[in-house]
Amino acid sequence: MNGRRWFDSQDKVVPLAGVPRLLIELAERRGAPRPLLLRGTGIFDQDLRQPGHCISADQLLRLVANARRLAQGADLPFLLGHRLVGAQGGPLAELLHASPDLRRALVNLGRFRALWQPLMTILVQWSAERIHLQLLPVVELGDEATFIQDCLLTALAALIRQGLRQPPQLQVQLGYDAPRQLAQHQQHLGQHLEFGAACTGLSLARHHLQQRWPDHCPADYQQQLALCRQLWRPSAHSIGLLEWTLRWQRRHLRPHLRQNLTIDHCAAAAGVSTATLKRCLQRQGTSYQQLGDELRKQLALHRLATSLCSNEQLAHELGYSDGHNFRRSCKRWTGLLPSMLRQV
Amino acid sequence: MRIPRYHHLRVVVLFAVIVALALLVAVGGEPKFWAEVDWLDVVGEGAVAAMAFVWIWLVLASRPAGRVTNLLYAGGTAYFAATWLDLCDEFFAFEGAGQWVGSLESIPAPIGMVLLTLGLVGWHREQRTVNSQLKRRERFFREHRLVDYLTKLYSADYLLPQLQRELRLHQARQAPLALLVIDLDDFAGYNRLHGDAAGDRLLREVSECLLAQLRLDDLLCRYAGDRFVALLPTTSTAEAEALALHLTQQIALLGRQPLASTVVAVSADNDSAASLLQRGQRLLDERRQRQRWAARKAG
Repeated sequence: MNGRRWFDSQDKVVPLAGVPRLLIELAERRGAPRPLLLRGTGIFDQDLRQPGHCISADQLLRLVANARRLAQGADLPFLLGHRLVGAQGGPLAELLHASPDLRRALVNLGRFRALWQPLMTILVQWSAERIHLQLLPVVELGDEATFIQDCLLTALAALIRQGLRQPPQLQVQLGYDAPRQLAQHQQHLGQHLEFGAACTGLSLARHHLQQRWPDHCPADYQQQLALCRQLWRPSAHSIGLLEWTLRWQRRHLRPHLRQNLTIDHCAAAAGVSTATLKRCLQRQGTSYQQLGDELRKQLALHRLATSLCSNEQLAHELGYSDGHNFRRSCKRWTGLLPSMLRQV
Repeated sequence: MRIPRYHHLRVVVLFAVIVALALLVAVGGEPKFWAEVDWLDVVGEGAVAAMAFVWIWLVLASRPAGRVTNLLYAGGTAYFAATWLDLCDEFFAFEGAGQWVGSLESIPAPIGMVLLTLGLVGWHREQRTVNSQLKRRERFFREHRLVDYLTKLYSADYLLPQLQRELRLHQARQAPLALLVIDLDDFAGYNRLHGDAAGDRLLREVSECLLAQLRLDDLLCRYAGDRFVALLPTTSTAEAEALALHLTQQIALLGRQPLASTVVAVSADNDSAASLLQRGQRLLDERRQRQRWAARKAG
């Protein structure tokens, strides 16, 4: 592997036993022949039988593209999401079902998500009444971003509904425009959908976090936890480039660290040159500035919708020199001024 | 486009015809010089012959054996023979004794056309039978790309335009129109317990069960996942609700344990198609909520 502190689209970090295996099985049942499915992905049949084999993000995205083309049915990502939390979901699914409550399940999901796929991370934000789970890509996903998002949202929604006896009202936000036919989305994600949102994710009432889950068995839980820990250990390459940079920027938005928010400091912390970091980000189709802007947008929109701080206060928190710059950025992100967003 | 094994003899005969006629032309005529050949004719007749060949291939690749297939095949082959002869004799000149070969090409074409026409009349009659077999799955419009791969019912994409058309017709005639929304309870649980293959089988069984209970003019579609929608033309609210109850009872008989489902009926009331569908979905979700509260209170 390389000496960097993150993985990019070519590093082999996606375990074949997670999403790829389930996708191949599902696509085959939907009429896609395996040789055609695997063509161009660089995945071999015998790799599927080897435990612990990993593929790169690029390979997974090519596999997804093949599956979408060859398998029949527009509900492929949703079915895959259900499978992830079903009986074939592997040790991570078992761990999540055996968790004592939703909060612990989400913590475990965040920690061990690489057992399914490490391509998207979950950003947790809070408001007075609700918890917001946002899905963020850690590498550039290209055309298959919608598929992966739909799959993970379905898995999350199915997991939450399974664990809570009284299914909560989930509000789902999707970053893309509404498709012509909403039937699949409504059936698998619920009735409360918002398309064209600034970010992709779902939210539910906070009080659900503490509810005990019916399938919780302490012995099982400890066993599954140990198994997951054995199967996956955090290493230098367990974070995707985009996530690593975002985390860095978020940490250094705090007022006392703000002077280190430049790309040079970030590159130095990663142990690479500034030029290398710029190049890596460019390969992912983004830049340091863009990521910083995206981060501020997510934080700002969330705070505007859920809390009562003033424009000046929010501008200061996000590192803007004054409220005027903040208002301009807001207009650029959403076409509306902060005061209008607050009313919404 | 693969041709099944039982047609292989027909393919052999076709290639035999091609070879035999080419040989006949080559033996009976003198090859023309390159400069004498009318290339425009070659291109035109070549295209026609190629298309005729493709027709025969399509017929054999898509139809089972039978009387109508034989007529279409024989007619197509005869017509193709005529176009093939036409193409071949662009390259040969016929003098004296070989001239009868030149006039050969006028014979197969009319024979082929007559046989093709007879075949198409047979196809027309056959299609009437097929259409009656597709009753309840299809309603006055066919688009095979909208068919759901698992249950062979049409999907939500097909339902919406059909519903719009039916609403317009019904409003013009002041006739009542109803929708049924059918949803299996805890289908995800069933899948977890018995596996995805069993879940797929169950969906197919439920579709067949519903089709058997609906009337000839009704339309059943697979809306999404485990949700189905049935369009009931010229049906009053009372009839629709009675049918809904009946369907719940019939579905319960499937599977080893009684299969619970929720079926609701909504009647059109100056709605658009989209709002009628939404009303049906909302009603079903509310009914489900109430059932769950009732179950929690009791248990």
